[in-house]
Amino acid sequence: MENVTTLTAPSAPEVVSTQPLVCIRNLSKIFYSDELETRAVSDLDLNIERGEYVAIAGPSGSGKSTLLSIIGLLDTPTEGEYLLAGELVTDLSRSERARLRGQHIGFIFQAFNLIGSLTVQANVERPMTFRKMPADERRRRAAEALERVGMSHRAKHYPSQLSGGQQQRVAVARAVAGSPSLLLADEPTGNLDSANGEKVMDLLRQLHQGGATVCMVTHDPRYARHADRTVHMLDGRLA
Amino acid sequence: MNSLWQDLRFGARMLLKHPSFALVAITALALGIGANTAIFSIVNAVLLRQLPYKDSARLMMLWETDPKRGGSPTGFSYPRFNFLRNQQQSFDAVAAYTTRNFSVMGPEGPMLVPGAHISGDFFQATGIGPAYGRPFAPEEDQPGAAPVAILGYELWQSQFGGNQNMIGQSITADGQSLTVIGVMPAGFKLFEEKIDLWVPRVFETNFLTPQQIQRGGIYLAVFGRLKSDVTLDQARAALTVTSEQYQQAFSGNSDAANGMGAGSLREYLVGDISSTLWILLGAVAFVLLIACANVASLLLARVATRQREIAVRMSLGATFWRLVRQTLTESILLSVVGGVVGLLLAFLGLKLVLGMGSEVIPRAGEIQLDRWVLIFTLLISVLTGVVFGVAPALLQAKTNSNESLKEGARGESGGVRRHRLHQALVIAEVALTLVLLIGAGLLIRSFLRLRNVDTGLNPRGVLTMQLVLPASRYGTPAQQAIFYDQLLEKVKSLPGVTSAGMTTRLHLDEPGSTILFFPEGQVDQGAQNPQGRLRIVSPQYFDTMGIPLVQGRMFNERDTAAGPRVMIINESMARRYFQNQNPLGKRITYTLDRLTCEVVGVVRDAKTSVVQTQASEEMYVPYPQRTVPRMMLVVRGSSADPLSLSGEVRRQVQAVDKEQPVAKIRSMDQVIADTLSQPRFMTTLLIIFAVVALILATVGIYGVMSYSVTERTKEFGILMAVGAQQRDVLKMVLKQGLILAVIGVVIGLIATIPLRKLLLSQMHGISATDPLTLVTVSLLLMTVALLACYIPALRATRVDPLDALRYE
Repeated sequence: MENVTTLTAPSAPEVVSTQPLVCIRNLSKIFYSDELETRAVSDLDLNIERGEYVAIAGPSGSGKSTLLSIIGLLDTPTEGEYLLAGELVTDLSRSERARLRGQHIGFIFQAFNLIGSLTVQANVERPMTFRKMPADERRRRAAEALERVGMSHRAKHYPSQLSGGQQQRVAVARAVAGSPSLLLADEPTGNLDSANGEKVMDLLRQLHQGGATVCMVTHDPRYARHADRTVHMLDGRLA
Repeated sequence: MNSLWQDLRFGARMLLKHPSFALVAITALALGIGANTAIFSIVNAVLLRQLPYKDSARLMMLWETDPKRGGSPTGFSYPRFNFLRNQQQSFDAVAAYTTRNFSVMGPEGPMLVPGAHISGDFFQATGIGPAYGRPFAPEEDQPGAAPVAILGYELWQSQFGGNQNMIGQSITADGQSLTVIGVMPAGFKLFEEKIDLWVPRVFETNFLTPQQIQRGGIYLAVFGRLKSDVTLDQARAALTVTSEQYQQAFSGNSDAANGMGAGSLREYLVGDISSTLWILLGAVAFVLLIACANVASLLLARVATRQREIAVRMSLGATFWRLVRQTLTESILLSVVGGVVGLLLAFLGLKLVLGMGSEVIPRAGEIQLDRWVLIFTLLISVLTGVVFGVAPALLQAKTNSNESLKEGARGESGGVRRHRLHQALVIAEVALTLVLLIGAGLLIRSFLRLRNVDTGLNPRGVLTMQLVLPASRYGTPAQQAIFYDQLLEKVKSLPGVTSAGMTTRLHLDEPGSTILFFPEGQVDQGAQNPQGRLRIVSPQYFDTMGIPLVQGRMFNERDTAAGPRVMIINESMARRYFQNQNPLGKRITYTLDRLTCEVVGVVRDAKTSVVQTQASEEMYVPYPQRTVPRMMLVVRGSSADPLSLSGEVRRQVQAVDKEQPVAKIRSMDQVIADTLSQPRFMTTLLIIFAVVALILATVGIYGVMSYSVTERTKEFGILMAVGAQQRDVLKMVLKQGLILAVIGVVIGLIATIPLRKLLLSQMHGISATDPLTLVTVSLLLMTVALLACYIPALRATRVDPLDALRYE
């Protein structure tokens, strides 16, 4: 059992703004198939303030993951507006969205999504290379992030040599190492047993306590309780 | 046996189920195996198969060695041959021959046919005699004997309709009536030289006088059949002793100081081409290895898709070796099908190769896809199947059945192994291709150098043809000179002809006759005198060939048989023997017939062949002063195509003597092309193999990168989700490909070091480390590798992160 040090907030940019970090207005996402129109998200309004820990809960198919993808700039809305840190991001190009993802957003996925051919250290460093961060700086931040999640002793290991809980902690380190404005977690405990799930929840809690803005999708009410605020979704709308 | 049959049927079903995979793999294998089969069939016929003579391994070529030229081999003089024949005890028989063209009257008029004087022991030494009739009787091999001849089979068929009644009848050759006593077997060649007329009496030749022959003039080729209880080394030792005896017995002869050497007839016949063929066999082996790497890559990609199938088999009790055998059976099945298609390609390729190089490949007529070639193809097919199949088979059989049966399994070790193996295959393909490309590149550069080499003369627009005057009508030098005078006069007056000349031996085609001489101021040392090259020419030969005068004068009409003997030498000769003196007015004496000439001019060095690195010392004498019956006519015309003059020039020959044939009608450009035929053959084939290798490597790199991108779809999705932009992914894939290409290039460059040494013998005028070639080829290959990576890289940039993450 590794020791987890007390987490401090990732050094998020100290921007003094009265605007919410995430501001969503009348947002809809419609998927079209041959003869079917599916509204995954429908006329949704949502604000996430800086430093807030929000859980998006709801049953399977309620549209919470679609919403998270739009918030994370992995997907675009069909209708409505989305402002990230005050910037309208609804109609940005693919590469602009990629750039903003790299600068502002950290992702934690249900399936960890570490890259098998890279060491733990390299996995954590990799997103920062796309921001043209100097190598020394990358190494320092990765080491700090791994230290924060208690995985520095496994820095030279490959993901396949780690347990699921350890992999998710590395994924958390990767997400926070670049000091994102917003940390998005999509069912971060979905592939973990309850003990490891709790550990990851503790990590997120500590990150939030350190100042991070966290938005987590979960279908499990037990984990949703860790958040400051829980929004429930049903059939693409906030319940 | 039953399970093997099951494996075969299963393998066949798998191939039919994946036709595109099978097509690509079989095409790659067919190219590799086909190229190997084609080249092996040449190697087999030329280098491995016995020569078509009885007990041919015991046939040895003999030669004189010239100590003044570092022991380089040369022909035999008649006195030495005769001495050796009488003294030696190492050989069952020693025979001599000399070849020349005969002017034979056929049903359609005079024609020049290739003929040979052979000594009495010739048939005993080769073990082959006439197919019809009888061999020469000993009394027919004596001076003054009744002239007899044996016809070559092809001449007998083409000119005399294969009529067996020809035996006992007469034909006219060189104006002399010869009684036909036999016909040689079909296809029989005099050591690769086509001979249509066989006559005895090697002690007679039309280009040396009897006196010159007796004083050691070299003109014979000699071979012997080694006794069964004598080794080649023992024979060589005995030849050394015989040489010393000859030197004592014939100390006054011009070849007295020479030694003697011996080597296998096979080496003599195929020695020049053997290194070329081995290099080509090596080249096609590389092509096959690249094909193997390609197919191994394809199989590796299939390993990933078949993991669950293998896991199910293992869970049902299949053992490790049973799985290896199943996969290897599929690989071998694939390669055997590739081998069958390759055999078809080899058949077509062989026609192409022989079309290009039948003149440079000895024994070309014997090349065929015989049973040894079929056995080779089968063996190489099975071996190929094992080579490309073994790694995927082992990897596949090591599949962890437990992990593979789980959905979304975490185990990635198999993937990492596959990935590394894929990378290793790309590196190997690049390295192998680089070796071939560098080989081809060096030969191209060398060939271009040869084509543009300064030969010291201007060959453009020059027509050449050979004249051999028959002794019956042109028995004296005066008669020969009159013919040449008249012919040159007529040819020069033809419209479109700017000049015409003659020479005994054509520059860029053959070296001048070797003679011993001593320049004025030096002591006559007999057989120890220096050697030089002699050409007998007409006054306008230099103008016609574009060889400029450097000093003194050209020959003119005053240089007659009755006038003072004159000589023109080349710059190399002037430099070597008259270093700080004016060579004009100096006198040079030939050792052989004690004739002394005065140097009246110096001309620029002209090369004997385009591959000659340094011009030899050459002497020229005017034909009226030393007339011979065999000359090459050279005609410079104003037309770009000198061959357009050939008909008219030929008519002028007939106008002087309607029975006089001409032969070897060629432009000087053709003469040069013939000289370059072997380097051209080698270069062309290596280019073809290098291009095939490059295509295979490109397809291989593309395939591996494409597969890698597919396998890494999720990785790219993750990276794009965490901030990678399209250009980052593009760079990542290109960089990955480039790193593999660079590693391959570095390994390839190291691997070319021995190859470059091997190619040294094939290269002219460039270094084996020619930086331009090495850099250009390396850059070319890296560019091609990058291009092969570009399409997969572009595909990688189009990965939608959301889709890729859902892919999980």
